[in-house]
Amino acid sequence: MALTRKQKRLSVIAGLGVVLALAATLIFTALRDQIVFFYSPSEIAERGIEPGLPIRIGGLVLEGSWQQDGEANVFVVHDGETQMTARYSGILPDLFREGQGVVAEGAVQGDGTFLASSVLARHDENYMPREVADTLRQQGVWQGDEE
Amino acid sequence: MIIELGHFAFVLAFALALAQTVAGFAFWQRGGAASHFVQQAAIMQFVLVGLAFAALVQAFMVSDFSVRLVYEHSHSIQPTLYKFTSVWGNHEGSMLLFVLTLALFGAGLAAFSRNLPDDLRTLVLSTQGLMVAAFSAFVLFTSNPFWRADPAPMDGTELNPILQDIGLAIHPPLLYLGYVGFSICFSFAVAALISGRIDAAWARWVRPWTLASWAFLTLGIAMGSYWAYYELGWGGWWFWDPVENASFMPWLAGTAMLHSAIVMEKRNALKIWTVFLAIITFSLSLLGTFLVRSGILTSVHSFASDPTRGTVILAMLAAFVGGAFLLFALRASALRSGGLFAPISREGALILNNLFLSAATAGVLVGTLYPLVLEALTGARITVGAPFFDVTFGALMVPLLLLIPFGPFLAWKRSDLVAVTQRLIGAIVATLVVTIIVFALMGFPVSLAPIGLGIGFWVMFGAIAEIADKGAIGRASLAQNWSRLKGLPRSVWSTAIAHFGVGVTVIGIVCATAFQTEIVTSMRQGESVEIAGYTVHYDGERLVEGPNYMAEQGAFRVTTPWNTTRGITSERRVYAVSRMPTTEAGINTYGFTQMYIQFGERFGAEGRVVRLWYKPYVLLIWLGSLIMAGAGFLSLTDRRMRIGAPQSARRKQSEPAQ
Amino acid sequence: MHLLWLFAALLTLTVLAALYFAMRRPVMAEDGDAPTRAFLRSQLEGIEEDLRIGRISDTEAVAARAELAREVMRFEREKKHEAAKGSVRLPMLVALPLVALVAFGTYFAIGRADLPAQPLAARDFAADQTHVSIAEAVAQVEARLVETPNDVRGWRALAPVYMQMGRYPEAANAFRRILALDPPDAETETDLAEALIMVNDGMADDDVIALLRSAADRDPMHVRSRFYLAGELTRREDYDEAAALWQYLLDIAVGTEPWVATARSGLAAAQAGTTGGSLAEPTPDATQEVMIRGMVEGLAARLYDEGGSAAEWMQLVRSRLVIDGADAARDDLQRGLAELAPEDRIALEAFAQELGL
Repeated sequence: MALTRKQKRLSVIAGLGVVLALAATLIFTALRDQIVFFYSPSEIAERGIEPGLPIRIGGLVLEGSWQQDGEANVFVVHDGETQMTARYSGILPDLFREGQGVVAEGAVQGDGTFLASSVLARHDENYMPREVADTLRQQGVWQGDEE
Repeated sequence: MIIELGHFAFVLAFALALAQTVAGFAFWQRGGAASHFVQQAAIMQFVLVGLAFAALVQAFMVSDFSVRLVYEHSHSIQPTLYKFTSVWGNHEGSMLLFVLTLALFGAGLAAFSRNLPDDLRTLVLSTQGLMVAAFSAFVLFTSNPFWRADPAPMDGTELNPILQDIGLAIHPPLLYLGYVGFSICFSFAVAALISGRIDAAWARWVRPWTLASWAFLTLGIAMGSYWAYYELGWGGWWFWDPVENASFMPWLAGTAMLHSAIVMEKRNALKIWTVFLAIITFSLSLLGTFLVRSGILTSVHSFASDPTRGTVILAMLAAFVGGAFLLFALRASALRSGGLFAPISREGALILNNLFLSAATAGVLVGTLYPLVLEALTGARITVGAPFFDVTFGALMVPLLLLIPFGPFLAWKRSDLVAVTQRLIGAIVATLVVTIIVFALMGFPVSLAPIGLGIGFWVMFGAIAEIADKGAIGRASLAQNWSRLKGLPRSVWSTAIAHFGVGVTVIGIVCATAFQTEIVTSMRQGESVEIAGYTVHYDGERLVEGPNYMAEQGAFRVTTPWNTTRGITSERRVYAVSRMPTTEAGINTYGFTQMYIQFGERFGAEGRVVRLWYKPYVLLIWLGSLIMAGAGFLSLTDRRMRIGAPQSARRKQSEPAQ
Repeated sequence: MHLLWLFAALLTLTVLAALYFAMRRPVMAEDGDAPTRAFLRSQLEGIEEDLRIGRISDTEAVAARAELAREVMRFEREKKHEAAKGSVRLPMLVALPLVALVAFGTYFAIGRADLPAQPLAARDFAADQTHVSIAEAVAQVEARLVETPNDVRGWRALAPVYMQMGRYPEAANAFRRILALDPPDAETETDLAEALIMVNDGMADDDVIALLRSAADRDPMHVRSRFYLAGELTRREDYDEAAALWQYLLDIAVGTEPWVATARSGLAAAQAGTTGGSLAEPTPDATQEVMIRGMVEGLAARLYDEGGSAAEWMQLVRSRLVIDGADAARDDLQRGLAELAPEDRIALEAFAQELGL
């Protein structure tokens, strides 16, 4: 064994350092690429979110806007100012209701509608997704209790 | 009166915990009376909190709506089981369960610690007592489950229907046994730092508690995952939801601690690190509690919360974690580091294990907290979703999984990678053959799935190879094999079994992710749908009445490729009191594979939107976890611990390392 | 609740006694290093066993033993000199009463020793039995309606119950549903108007007026809508139209209806407003009375026509007593007793006795 004790130690530490650096790089690269921003319909209009970018949208489902054709769903999400048509194929969560809060993940399409890949369920009757509650409070549409 | 007596018992337990803490920290070096006092106090505390808990259970069972908690979370027409589980299906009750678990581990240590030195035991129990006191105070003064309502309301509001499931009876208690169980490791760490006694013996004493907590946490997380899978009706089994992460981070850190404690016990090395992990693991448990209870996150786990509670939990979190790390900073530099080892050695492998596990923990932590931090700093609202965790966690797990089979073959101190690889040649060949067959059966697709499966097989075969090697299978007569296998210590068996379980889970995850088929369609009565060779026939719906709900029940028949037919029902329920709808997925199990049907909205006159999943080998995910937990319990029965045997005696290393 | 204190004291004593006797347990003359020695011994046994089953070679075992020996020596060298183990029993004994003191003090502050347990089975619901069953019935109907929101019968069943329970917004919603599901009729429109008035604490806004007008237009013989409308118009000082309405009501009346008197006073108030103009401003009290009257008469008209619950009859009897005195109230009471089912009759009778009728 040619390595001295000190060298052994150093080699172990260097190895650990390399792995740690790789892990940190990985985490922060992924953090940059994989996060999904949350916007209200107004923010989408203001910022001109480019089509195809994965985002989350939140707001209230406009009363009377929900249309269903089999598994195809179309509804309008609004935040008191701006409305946005969203499409979703599948079974909506149990607590999806008109006039209630909703969060959908997906992307804006070229035609200005929102194609949702998933619609998030609320867990109970009283639960308003935090982002939605914040948005609506900002817009003055809803005065809920602070969570 | 019983409920008030329960309240009093809880107050008494609080007072006792205070006395235990003060007496313990004041007189820990004095042994004798102080030591006995602290032990007895820990046991009485558990009895008292147990009485309080029993009183609360009784109030729920008889629907005593003069107890506010019962009014808020139960209803007279709720089935008995759910009246019972309502006890902890809410913030206050679950915090009482939290304290009960803290006290249980304190009492457990007091009762089964004849092999501990008096001073260490007294310090551990004092720290545990401090936590019981702090959390009891939190419960008593901010979230008291014994608050009364006067006059008593007529009837209760209902338990959240999603929680009305057998899962609530199992998941939280198991999870708490794990989550809170790590408190005792934390107490051990604090005791070690105070007394300055941080050595191999300490690791030996803390290890059974780590193992027990870890095994319970494994069960709790697996149970929670399966519950979410069948109850939420979304077909998923892990969502990287912040709340799931909150329980997963202590598991990762606990797994790391489990491995580093082995090094500490056998080789007197990694001492600072192990103590650090003991602190960080329980800190992550507390962080999870804070995240869930403060209302910062909203999920099925965040009960109606008010900000003061969150602030108080944050303060306690800061005090316990901050205090522990302060001690750590004061003491760690004085620690004598332990035995030396080469990079290629059992120690080296375990360090790599710890490295990957802690990097993964850090990744999950960053992903969980980043949205909170970013919103606080910039106001931007973001979600760190599954893709982030899949990438980072997956990338960190792959090398770890590849390394697993090597670890147990490596000798302590210094080992020979080539020789180890030679001993693993059987597993390597088997893995390659099976993976190539799978690849071929799939038609050589451009897909990561067969590689994922290969990794799973590698971990499983590696575990088998370890047992085969230790049993000298193929190298000796059958009789010799048998006697060798019989003579293997349980710790060897449990290591191999736990690693085998990891492989099983990996295969389950890969199969359920890569090969699942999903169809969303609308079906009319009498129509059929083909999915992955199975034919699903819709027989129509009917209205059924449950004890406290009405349900539209869809009846299906599933015909398998081998022509057997079995019925399956899926429901949409509406609960009478809360008027809340839930979906009950219909699940048929074929071996490890499941057919999963979600019954959707009405479509036209007699049509229904139906979502079908074919989930091949999905059960392996939880089966693997059960195997891991079982291995954890098995190793608890092994009392024999060994010092690492160096491979060679040529180089003497008597001097303590710097 | 003496019993509670007795049990609490017993519990405390038991715990303190257990602690006391634990402290008095003789301290064994064991030395504090025994556990560590046991640990080191087990390490040694481990090496021997590994050697025996061939997991390690002889040379490895020698090295391992040597390493262990160094551990043992280090342990012996570093062994702490025993701290003075003087008795700490005295301060510990002081702790015992302190524990009791803290416990009782805290419980005094936050406990509710005065409140007995009230398990559901043991509670006396005789008084409000009907209430409970109504609540449950409502919940059941509601649950069904979530499933089948287009079932108008369900809404028809729920709406008046909501009114009676004071859940006015839900009642309004139910009436709206009925109007949407079935062809609108004067009766339901008036019901909705009534519910909305209750939601607005007795005030009628333009929507309500529109509803009432629509109801009146639908049915030339509809009294209740006109009653509300006339009352509201009087309140709004729209005297011309109000007077016309009151007059119309009196015209279609046979003359024996209980509300005729009210209509007359309403007409008088309205005419006073018209002719007097600025001369004789009607007092707010007068118009308010007309308003109340309108409501009471509306209720009476409905109860006499369609019947109603015990609670509604009670409401009518009480209102009548206030407005028209005991005789008129007794008339309503008789009618109510005749209409109601036996068990409700008892309730109404008891209620009347309380009012002194």
